[in-house]
Amino acid sequence: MRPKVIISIPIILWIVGGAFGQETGYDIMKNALNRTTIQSMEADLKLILQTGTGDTREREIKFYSKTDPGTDLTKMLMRFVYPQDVRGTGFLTLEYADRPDDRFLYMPALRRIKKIASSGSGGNFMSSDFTYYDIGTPELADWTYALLREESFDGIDAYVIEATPGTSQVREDTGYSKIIHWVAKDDLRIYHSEYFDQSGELKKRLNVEKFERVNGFPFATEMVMHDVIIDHTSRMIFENLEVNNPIPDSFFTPRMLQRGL
Amino acid sequence: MQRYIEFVLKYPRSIILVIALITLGLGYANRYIKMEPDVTQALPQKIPAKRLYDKMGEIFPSKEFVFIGLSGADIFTPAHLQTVWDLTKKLERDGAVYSVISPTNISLILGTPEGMEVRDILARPPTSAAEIEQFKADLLNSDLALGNLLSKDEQAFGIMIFLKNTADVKAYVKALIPAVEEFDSQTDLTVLLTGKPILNYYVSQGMQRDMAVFFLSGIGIIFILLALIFRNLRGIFLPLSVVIFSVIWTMGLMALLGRPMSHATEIMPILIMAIAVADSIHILSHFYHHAGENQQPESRAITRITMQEMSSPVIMTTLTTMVGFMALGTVGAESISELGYFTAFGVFSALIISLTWIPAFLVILKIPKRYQHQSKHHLVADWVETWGQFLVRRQKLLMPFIGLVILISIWGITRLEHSFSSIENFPEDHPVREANDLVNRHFAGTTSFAIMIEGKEPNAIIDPQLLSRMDELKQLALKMDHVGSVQSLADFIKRINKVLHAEDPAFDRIPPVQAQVTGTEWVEQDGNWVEVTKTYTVSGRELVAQYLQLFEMSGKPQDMANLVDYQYQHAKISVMLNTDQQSTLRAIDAELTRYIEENINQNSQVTAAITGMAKLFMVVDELIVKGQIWSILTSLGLVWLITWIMFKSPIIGLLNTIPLFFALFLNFAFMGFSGINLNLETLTTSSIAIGVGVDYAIHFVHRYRMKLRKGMGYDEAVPATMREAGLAIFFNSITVAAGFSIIALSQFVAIQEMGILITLTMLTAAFGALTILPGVFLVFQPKSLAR
Repeated sequence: MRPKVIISIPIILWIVGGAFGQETGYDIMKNALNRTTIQSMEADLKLILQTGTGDTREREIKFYSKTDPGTDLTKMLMRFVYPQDVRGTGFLTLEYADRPDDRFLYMPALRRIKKIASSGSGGNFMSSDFTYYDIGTPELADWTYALLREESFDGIDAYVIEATPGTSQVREDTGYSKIIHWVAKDDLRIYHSEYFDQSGELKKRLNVEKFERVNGFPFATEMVMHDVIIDHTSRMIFENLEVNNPIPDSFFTPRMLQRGL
Repeated sequence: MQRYIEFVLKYPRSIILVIALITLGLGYANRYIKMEPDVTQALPQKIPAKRLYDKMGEIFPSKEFVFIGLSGADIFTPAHLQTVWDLTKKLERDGAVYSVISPTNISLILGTPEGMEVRDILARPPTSAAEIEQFKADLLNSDLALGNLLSKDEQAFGIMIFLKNTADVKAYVKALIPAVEEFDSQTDLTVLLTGKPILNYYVSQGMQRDMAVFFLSGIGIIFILLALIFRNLRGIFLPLSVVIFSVIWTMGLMALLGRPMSHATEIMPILIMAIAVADSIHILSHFYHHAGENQQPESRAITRITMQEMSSPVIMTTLTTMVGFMALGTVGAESISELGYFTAFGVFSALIISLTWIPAFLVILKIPKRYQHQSKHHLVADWVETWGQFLVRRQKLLMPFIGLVILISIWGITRLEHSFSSIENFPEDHPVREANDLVNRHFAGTTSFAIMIEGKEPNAIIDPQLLSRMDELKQLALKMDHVGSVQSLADFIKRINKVLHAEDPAFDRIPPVQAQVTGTEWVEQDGNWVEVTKTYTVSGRELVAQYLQLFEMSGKPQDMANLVDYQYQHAKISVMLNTDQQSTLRAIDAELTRYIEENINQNSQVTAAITGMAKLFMVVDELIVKGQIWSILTSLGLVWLITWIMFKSPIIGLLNTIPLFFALFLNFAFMGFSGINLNLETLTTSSIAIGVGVDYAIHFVHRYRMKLRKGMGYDEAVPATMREAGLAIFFNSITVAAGFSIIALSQFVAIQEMGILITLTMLTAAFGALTILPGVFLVFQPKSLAR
C-alpha cells in the first residue's frame, strides 16, 4: 500500500502543476512587484532586535519616505522617538540615479548634521538584520527568476520562485547569491523569503506576519527577519501607516532633519 | 572473616564467574568514558569568579576564542592577502563561529571634514601595490589591529575566531586542526594555531597518549617484576588480572556515573595498578611460603592458612591507603576530589578482587611439585638485617642526622615557588607550545582576563564617568608587563567622539559629564529660517547614548556584542596577556582588583569583578594549593587516628606518622632545590604518598612490637624486625615506586614532575620507616611499644 501512495503524490502534483504552470517566474514576480502605487509614506516604525539568547533592544522611529514615480528614486527620513537618550536623532537618505546615496545624521547632543559616507548598499538598516536592500523595492530587471515549483507552504498555496542576480555587480552589492520567494497564489503577496549568502549558504529567513491592504494591494506591516548564521532576529512593525499624503521635497533636506520633531 | 574464607573455599567457581561477569559489564561501560581536559569546568559554583564566568557566558555571546597566526617574510603581497581573505570567508561560514575578526574583514570608521565614513577595510582582496599600501595604512590606523590582527613587527597576521557559547567547542577544534594543517600545506605562510580550546584539545590528546603509555608500561613493569619474584605463570597472571580488573572496575564506575577523565585523574589507573599489585604479591608470596613448608601441600588447606594470615593486614593497609586518597576530597576542586575518591574505589576494588578471585583460583589450581621445598633466597634479607645492626651501632648519630635533614629541608622549602602554566606544561618541542610562544611573542597574547561590569539597571553603562574609569583601567593595564592589549566599550566611544570631531586628537577621549558643544540651530529671524552657531552645555550621558546609537546603526549587530550587552547593563573589558604563568597572573590580578575596588566599585550603580579563563585558572590553582595543605593535614590526622585504633595507643599512632613527615619534608625540599613548582599536580603527590607510605611504618611497628613482646630488647629487636618486615617493606616500596615511576613517562611536564616526586616519596617513606623509625625507637625507647 504505502509505496503506491508515495509514488502517486508526485504524479498528482505534476498533473496539477502542468495544468497551471503556464506562467513564468518572471511574470509572477513582475506582477507581484510592479503594482505599488505608493508615492509617499508616513508611519511609526517599531524595531525589535533580539539576540539568540533572548536579549532585546527596542527602537521607535518616526518614518517618512517619498518615491518619485518617474525615476523610482526614494528619499527617506527617520527620527528616533524612543529610547529617551537618543530621542531626536535623525537620519536622512537621498537616492540618486548616478551616484551613491547621500546619508545625513543629526545628533541632538552635538547639534550638528554629519554626512555619512558609506560604501556599498549591503549595509544594515538601523543595525537590524534587514539591509537597506531588503526593505527597498527590488529592481525587477536586476534578477533572473525561475519558477521552482508550486506548493502549499504555511498553509498557503504558493509559487516558489528563485531569484538569482543578473550581474555580478548585483551579487556584490546585495551580498546574495540567490533569494527564494514564496508568493501567494491568491494575491501575489510575497510572504516568505530565504536569502542565501555569496557562499551559497542560507543566511536569513524573512517571514511576513501581517499584511495590510494599502490602495487595494497587500503591504507587509509586520516582518521578522531571522539571521540563521548569527541567530539574531529583527522584527519590524509599521503602525499608523498613511500613504500618499503629499509631503514636499523640502521636507527631505538636512535642514528639516535638524529642525527636530 | 573465617566465614568469608570458608565461603570462598566452598564456591570458588561461582566467585570466579561473578568477578568475571562484573568485570565484563564494567569493561563494556568503559567504552563510554569521556575526557575533560579543562580543569576549570569542574569549579564549584560557590567560587565567585566561576559564577561570574558562567553569567558572562549567558550575557555575552562568545567567551572562547581561537587564534590563528599567519606569518611569513613578506605578508603584504596580493597572494598572501588573497589567502587571508579566503581563509576569513571560510572561517566565517562555520556554524560554531560567532564572529571572525580578521585583517581583511574589519570595518573602519573614519572622520571626514563633513562627517564620517564607514566602510569595510576591503571590498575585495587588494591586487595593486597602491591598494596594498592603502590597506596597510588603514590597518595600522584602526584601533584593534596592532598586536591583535597584525604582529608588532608586521611579519604576521592574526585572525581571531570567537566561538558561540552554544557551540560544541571540542568538535569544532577537532575539525579545525586538520583543516588548518591542510591549509598550511597549501600556503608558504607559517600557520600557528593557539587559544584555550586548542590547548585543551592537545591536553586531551596528551591525556589519551599518557593513559595508553601508563597502562601498557604499567603492565610491562608489573609483568617483569612478577616474573622476577615468582617465576611462574600463576604468579604473573593472577596479580596482573587483579591489577587490570581493578582499573576496569574504576573506569567503568566513572563511565556509569558520567564522570570524565581529567588531567588530574589520568594518573589514576597507574596509581591503582601499582598499589593493587602489592596486595596480591603479599598473598601469593605467603601462599608459596606455606606451600614450600609442606611435604604434601593441598591447595585448599594452604589457601586457608594464607587467607587467615593475610586478610587482616591486606584490609588494614588498604584502608589506610584509601584514607589517604579520600583526604584528597577535602581539596575542594572536583578533578582532584575525583582522583581521590575513584582511586580509593580502585584500591578497594583491588582488595575485593584480591580476597576473592585469587584464593578462588588458588583453591582450584593444583600446586605443582616444583614449588614444594623451595628454599627462599635470603640475600636481600641479609642486607636489611645488616642495615638494622648498623643502625643499632650508630644510634648516637641518628638524631644529628635527622636534625641535619630537617635543616636542609627547611632551606629547600624556602626556595619553593607556587606557579603553574598550562602552556609550559607541554614539552618545549610540542607544536602547540611553539605556536603559543611565537604568538605570545608577536601578538597581544592568548590568555585573557575579563573584567565584568554589572549595572543595577539597564543603561547603567551609558555613563561617561564609568567609561572614563574603564579607559583609565585600560591605560593602567597596558603599562603592566605581559599585558598585550585591552578592549572595552570605552574604545568605541573615544573613537566615535574623535571621528565626529573631524579626527581632532583632542577629542580622543570619553566625553565629560557636562560637555560644551558648539553646534548650530535653526532660528526664525524676520520670517526666515537661518542657521546660527551656538555653544551649548549637554550632558555627556546623552552624547554617549547617541554615539552608541550611531555605532549601532553603522556597524554590524555583532560588532560590540562581546563588549556590552543589549540593555547596556553589562560591559566586559578584555585584557589579553602573553603568559599564563600563575605568579604573573596573580600580580596583575591584584593590581587590577585594587583599581576596581578603589575607583569603580565606589559607584553604587555598578559592580565590577575580574573573571575570564586566566582568573579561573588562578582560582583553581589557589584553591587546590590551599586545599592540599588541608588535605595533607587531614590525611596525616586520619592516618594517626587509624593507627591509634589499630595499635590501641595514640603514641604508637603518632610514631607511625614519623616516616611520613620525613618523606614529606624531603619531598618539598627536593622540589625547592630542583625548581619544581608547587601546583595542582605536584602537590597531589603528598596526600597520595601519605596513604601509601604509612603501610611501611605499620608493618615495621607491628613486627617490632611483636619482637618486644616476645621479650627482645629495643636494640636486639631492630635487626630481627628488619629481617622480616624490612624485607617486605623493601620489596613493596620498590614495586610501588617502580609502578609510580611510569608516571614520569607523561608528555606533560607537571605530570612528569609528579611521577618523579611520588616515586621519590615512596622510597623516602620506606627509608624513613627503615631508618628514622628504628632510630626513634632506639633513642627514645617508647614504653607504649613494649606493653
